[in-house]
Amino acid sequence: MTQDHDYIRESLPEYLAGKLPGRKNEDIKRHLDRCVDCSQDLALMNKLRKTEVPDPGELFWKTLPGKVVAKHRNNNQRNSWLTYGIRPVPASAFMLLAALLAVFMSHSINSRQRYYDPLFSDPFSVSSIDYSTLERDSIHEITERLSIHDNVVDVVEDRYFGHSYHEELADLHSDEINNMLKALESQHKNGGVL
Amino acid sequence: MDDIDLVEQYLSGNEKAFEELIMKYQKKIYGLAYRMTRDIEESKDITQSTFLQAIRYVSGFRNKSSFKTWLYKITYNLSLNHLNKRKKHEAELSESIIGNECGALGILLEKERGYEILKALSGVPDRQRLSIILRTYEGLSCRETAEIMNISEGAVKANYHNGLKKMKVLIGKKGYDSGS
Repeated sequence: MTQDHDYIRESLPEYLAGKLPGRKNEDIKRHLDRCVDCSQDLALMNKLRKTEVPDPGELFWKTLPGKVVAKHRNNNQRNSWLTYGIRPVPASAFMLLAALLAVFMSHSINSRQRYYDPLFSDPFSVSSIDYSTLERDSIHEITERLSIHDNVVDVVEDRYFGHSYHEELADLHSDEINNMLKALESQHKNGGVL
Repeated sequence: MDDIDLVEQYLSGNEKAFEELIMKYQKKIYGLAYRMTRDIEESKDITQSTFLQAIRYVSGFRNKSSFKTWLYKITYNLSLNHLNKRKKHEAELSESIIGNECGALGILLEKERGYEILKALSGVPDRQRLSIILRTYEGLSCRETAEIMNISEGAVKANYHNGLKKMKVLIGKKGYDSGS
């Protein structure tokens, strides 16, 4: 009897779920007729099974599968960065710093380029000066601002399209200065021009 | 298509296969979480976390147990974590706040909603509660329940019977008749 009781008590969930074969069902029914403990257990279990769980709503059920898969995909992507030793926050900070540096450099180069206008063909910046390519207007433009007095080249400081003749002359080699002096002399540019 | 086929399909790159698995089990997982926590929001969180953990570790899923048992095991662990966190949080709250929540109005609402049984269920210790839930609601065998809870079958039986006994006492105290 006790052995039956214990066995049947263990089998009540399966009995309630209808998972037992017919003969065992009959045994349990007979036992339940005379065992108050097991009847109470069964009634409680039955009540438990009937309690409803509040529905979180259709939206939750519909969106959950896609949400889980998408979230996992995103986590994987983030983790794949981590496997290469790249941490998102420091990497972003580094990229931002690199971008700022690039902007700064390009600004700096631009301002230098503006100073040395590529359209301006500087006749004095080449090591051997070839005046054959020098336009008459260009000579005029340069010499207009230069004067020689006692072999000293003087310049009327002016910025023409961002060019300073002072600085250009400072960059010249002594041979270039001599060539320029000769050129100026041949054009009778001795003395002040202005 | 059975669960193992769907898992294999997912592992070979078909994401829809895992979505199908979620659709198949989401209500069961949510139900289990709700019976453990009796909180809709917590149960939604647990459900989502269960599937996230499942999809993350599915490549390590060994066919030793069924996919359903494996999912239940994850849900059980997550529910226990939630309950432990909640207990900590509740301990931090003042007695008066908890007292108000469990006041006469609360009891009335519980009765009206027919949740008195669930309330009695929540009155039993976590492990006993889970063994009742898995055995009664889910109809799992002692062996499956033991596997999920990572305890012996004997311990499942003890937890289950002690839990039912305690529930009967709790219901008796409130004047409910478990036999009706």
